[in-house]
Amino acid sequence: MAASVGSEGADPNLTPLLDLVLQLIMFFMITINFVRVDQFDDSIKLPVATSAMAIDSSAEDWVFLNLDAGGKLVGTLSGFVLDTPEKIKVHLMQEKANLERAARARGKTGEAKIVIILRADKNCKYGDVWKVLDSCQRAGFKYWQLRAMTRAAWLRRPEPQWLALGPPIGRLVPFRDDDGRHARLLRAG
Amino acid sequence: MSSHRKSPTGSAGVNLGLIITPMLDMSFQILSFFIMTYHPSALEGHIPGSLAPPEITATKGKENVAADIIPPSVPEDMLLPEIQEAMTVIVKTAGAGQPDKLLLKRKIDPAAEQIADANVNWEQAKKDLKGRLRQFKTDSGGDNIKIEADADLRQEFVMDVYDVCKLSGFSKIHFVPPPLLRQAEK
Repeated sequence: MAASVGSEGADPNLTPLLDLVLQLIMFFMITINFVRVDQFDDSIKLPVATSAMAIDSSAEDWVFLNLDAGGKLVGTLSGFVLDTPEKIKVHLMQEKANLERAARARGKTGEAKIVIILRADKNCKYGDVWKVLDSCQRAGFKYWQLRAMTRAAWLRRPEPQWLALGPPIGRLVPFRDDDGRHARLLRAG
Repeated sequence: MSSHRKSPTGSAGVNLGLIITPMLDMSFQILSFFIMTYHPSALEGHIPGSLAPPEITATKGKENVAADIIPPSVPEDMLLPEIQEAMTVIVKTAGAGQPDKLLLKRKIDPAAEQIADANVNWEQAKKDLKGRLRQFKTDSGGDNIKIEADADLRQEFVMDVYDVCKLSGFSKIHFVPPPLLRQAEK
């Protein structure tokens, strides 16, 4: 990177560049979130729920279920033939038994909190979501989380909002149209 | 930070200046690694729920969870009284997963009350539902509400209804099985 042009040449000052690079590295180190890629399926387009909360990681263990738009379980489960609620239930019971055994091996006493994390595509049918949840319940799971996209404030595009100037003694009135998305001119009396 | 020191000119001997090129190269490699592995997963949130077995659902109180499911195997009269009395938001679909009608029903009502024609304008239907739910919440209080959607309805619309219920002040939201599945269970 550093270039030295002979004994008479000017050396570029690399210190600011190095500072900037180290700052960028620090930013990425702080914000990086290592995830197990086998738990997530990028083909799943999650629905948006403004009331969704930050991810809670207080559970002992998790079972990730990715439900695609066609109502099929994908991701780590794509290798299994889970086309009926009964097969899903049997598979989940085995999974639960394995996780509980692992928790006991780690020294956990009592009931381990194992959470079903359902990542359902926004275009899948409610009936398919229901069948999976029902199978989870029948398999003996007690906790579930439904994953959704939160509209982070820093990513939310400001909705168009205009200020209409009324008559000379009028007021500045912010307004939106009926569906809250587009603006139209309005005079304030 | 480190600095590129130059040895005094004119003096013979070893140049002790700090060579930062390898450090910069390594920094770029680390930076490339972080950029490539960066995943903005913090945008993903969760809705906590309970899958407590039917006997717990029917007899004991619930934990403070946002959502749960009411299994079809549990008869309505075995549910907790506050869940029995809770209002049900019914979402009917017209086909292709699109919502058609939004209805509200309480146990005491003989028939469901239509709130909006969701097939025409979904945003307006949500607003109407929110207004009606807020009014209901102010009049009668209660934290429980049930959502009953058709099996064909797309999940994004179910989440929209969930959002409206949550924003209207209901903290305990119960998902009722779709009518077809409930009939099949019986």
